[in-house]
Amino acid sequence: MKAQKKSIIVNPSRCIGCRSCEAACEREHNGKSYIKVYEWKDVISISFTCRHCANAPCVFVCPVNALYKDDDGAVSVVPQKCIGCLMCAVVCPFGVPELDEHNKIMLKCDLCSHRRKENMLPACVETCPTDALIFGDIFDVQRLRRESIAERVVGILKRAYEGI
Amino acid sequence: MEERIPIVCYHCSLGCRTFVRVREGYPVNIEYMKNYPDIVNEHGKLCSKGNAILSLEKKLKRIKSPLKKKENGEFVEISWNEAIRYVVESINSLRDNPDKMAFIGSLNAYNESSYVLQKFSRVLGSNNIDSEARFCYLGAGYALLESMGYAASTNTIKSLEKSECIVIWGHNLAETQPIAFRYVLKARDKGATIIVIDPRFTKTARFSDIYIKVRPGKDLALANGIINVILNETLYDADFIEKRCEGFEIARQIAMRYDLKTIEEITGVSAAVIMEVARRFAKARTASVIIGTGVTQSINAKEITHAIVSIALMCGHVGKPGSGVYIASGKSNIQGVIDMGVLPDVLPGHKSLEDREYVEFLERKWGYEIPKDRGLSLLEFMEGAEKGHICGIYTMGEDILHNTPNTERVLRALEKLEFLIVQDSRMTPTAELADVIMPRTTILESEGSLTSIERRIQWSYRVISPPKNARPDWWIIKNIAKELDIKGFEYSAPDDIFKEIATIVPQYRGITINMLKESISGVFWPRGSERTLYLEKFNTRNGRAKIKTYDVKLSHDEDKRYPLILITVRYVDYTQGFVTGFLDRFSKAKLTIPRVEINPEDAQVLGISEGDFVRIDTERGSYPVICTISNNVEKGTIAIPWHMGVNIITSDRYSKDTKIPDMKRCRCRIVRISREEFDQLLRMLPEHIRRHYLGGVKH
Repeated sequence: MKAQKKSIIVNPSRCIGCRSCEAACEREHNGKSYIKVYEWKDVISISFTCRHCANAPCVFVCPVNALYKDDDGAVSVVPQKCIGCLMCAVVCPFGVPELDEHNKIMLKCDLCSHRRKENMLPACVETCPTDALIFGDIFDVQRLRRESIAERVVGILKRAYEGI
Repeated sequence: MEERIPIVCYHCSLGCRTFVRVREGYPVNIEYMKNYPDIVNEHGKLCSKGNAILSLEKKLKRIKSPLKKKENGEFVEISWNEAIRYVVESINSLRDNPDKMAFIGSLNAYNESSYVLQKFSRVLGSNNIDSEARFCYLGAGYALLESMGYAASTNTIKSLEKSECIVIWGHNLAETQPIAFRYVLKARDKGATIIVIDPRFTKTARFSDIYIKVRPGKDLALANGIINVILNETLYDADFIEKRCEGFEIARQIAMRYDLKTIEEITGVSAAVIMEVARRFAKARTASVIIGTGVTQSINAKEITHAIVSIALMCGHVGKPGSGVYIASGKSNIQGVIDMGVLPDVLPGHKSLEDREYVEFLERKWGYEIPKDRGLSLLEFMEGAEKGHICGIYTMGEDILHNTPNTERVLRALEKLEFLIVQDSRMTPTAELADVIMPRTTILESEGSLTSIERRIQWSYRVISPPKNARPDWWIIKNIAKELDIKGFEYSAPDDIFKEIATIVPQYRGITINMLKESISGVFWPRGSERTLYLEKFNTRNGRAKIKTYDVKLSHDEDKRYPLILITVRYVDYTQGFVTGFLDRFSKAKLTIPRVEINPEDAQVLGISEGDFVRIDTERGSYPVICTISNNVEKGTIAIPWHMGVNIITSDRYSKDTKIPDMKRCRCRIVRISREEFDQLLRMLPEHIRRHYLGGVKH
């Protein structure tokens, strides 16, 4: 199994619960959204989607090898192979895989494989108005987060210094 | 063959751009405009409404052919010729008394259509033309027009990024316009202070540095308090005031009447917080104020806006990049509607009816005499219809029954009319009351220009082929004018109309159709000082801005029967009354019964717990809802989303001067009811509202 490369990482401190990601996802996936926004009291919100685990239990458990990891590390379904046995749903700790009631197969986030082929980001990331969703390597993302905090601190210090 | 066609999103006034991929005449998907840094939505980002723009268009049930109401209330399909003949007959019956006719413009129509409608109305001799801009923009618009010269926001949305202090007054920006909130967050990343003033703790407030929970309706007092601190601590920019403003002394005298202690009592905001806000705002090098519907839907919207603008003027925070006053509004072409003069008292180009020279110029250009007296406003139409001096209303694609406060009264008024002509794309509650319905094309089914809240004029192309019998607004009016034998409406395309607009409306002069069509990022008005208004001087007669504030009513208006205050709020997934996107997605949008937010203390006193069925009573009626307990609202206040027909109970008391209703808040009481009573109340609501919005089928 290939190691995880890139994933969608959520920054809850920037999520405003505008559901742009849901709308973009359902547009790209025939009216079904694989990313979901959870809200608390109309104020706090977080957007959540498949974590594309490094050691994905759904991939291990699938009896017909319908689930696989692609080159970017996205856990995807081969619809032709899927038998709708729900085993992936049983083992997924996040409750991600959902059954398509019409075709009786599993559906889940594929990090917009059709968009990645054209060198585009997943639709939810591309559209997020506040940049709360980031598509990238976890190391890069964390480094950027550290940098932005550092920048902010430097900015405040600079202004305090200039103020005197 | 696949094409990429640029359109403008019409779900709010920001004017976000996106490409639509059209394959053999059928829209397949949208494509974000990634490489156009100059558009308002940088990197092509869109909110949920923009992302769902095509799916909404697909799922709306359309009116496919002109319809006429029979005696028994059923609609029958008729031909366009018959429909236009009927409209012409109706208009001819009032031709000698044009004052008995009223026209209602649409905020979801192109500039060209709005222009043609107001020209038609004025040429017929009626200034009775208004739009729903009155409900969510004009309050602030009048004040900006009076104090600085244009009824428009002073800067671009992107310039918010450069602000060191942003005050968001009565607006839930994160919920209503996520794309604009992007720039607020960017400013915050750079260390800007975000101040949110709102009676309800909202998503926007969550990102604020200072949050002020002001009592509903006490904004003017709060503004005076801030002015008071600015004066007392001499935080004002004396140089700017001396060189560019007038009226400072009078405003000073008024504001000094209210010491902070009084203000504290009225507004419920502690003096220390008011001082902190005033200091932060005044000391910032650049600062912006965003005025939302919390202000503009108040009866004293104009007064509050004057006071807020005065704060900005006193501190010199107008007329430079990163500093300015914004009016935020929900509906798409609201700025265009005002520029085109779809108003009873303002001519195209924000010109007053008293401007004799301009009136003569218009008469010369149009070839007809136009009325010189101020016409009636939207709420006066309803009053007039009730009393009988308005006999016919022509509405261009606006669901007045849902959007106007005090629905039952609007319903009574509309039923009394001799004729109600509706031009709309789908069967709205208003359309159901019509005598004749003419199917119009939606924004994506026709082309034209839209003016965003930034004063940015952008061209949007046609991407969907309309139903066979739907026609653009301007085509309908053109044909009615032809039958009525009125000259000057011989347009063959929106291009012709825009060319005429560019010769008439002063702000649009020098803008050509090619400039609009070639540019993705659009063209700003006025030509010259585009991104930031008032760089050198203000657009008033003497070039100076007017500082103005008003006296505050000190007494608390208490009403024992209706102890609570109701405020209305908005959800992101809704455009006016209907949900954008697919229904299996939104948790909140699934609600067919709205949830009312109530403070835990009030809930305890009233014996209400989470999920109970309750009834909200006001003087105008009752509205059944489900209760949710939340600390977001202060004791004595309840908050309710307005999309599901809450206008049944909102207040239509309006200001004598600006005719703006107090629809954001009203006094109410809340009573716990049983499930049976709830169902019974639901059945008693006006049928149109019930079927379309509350508890009925979702659109």
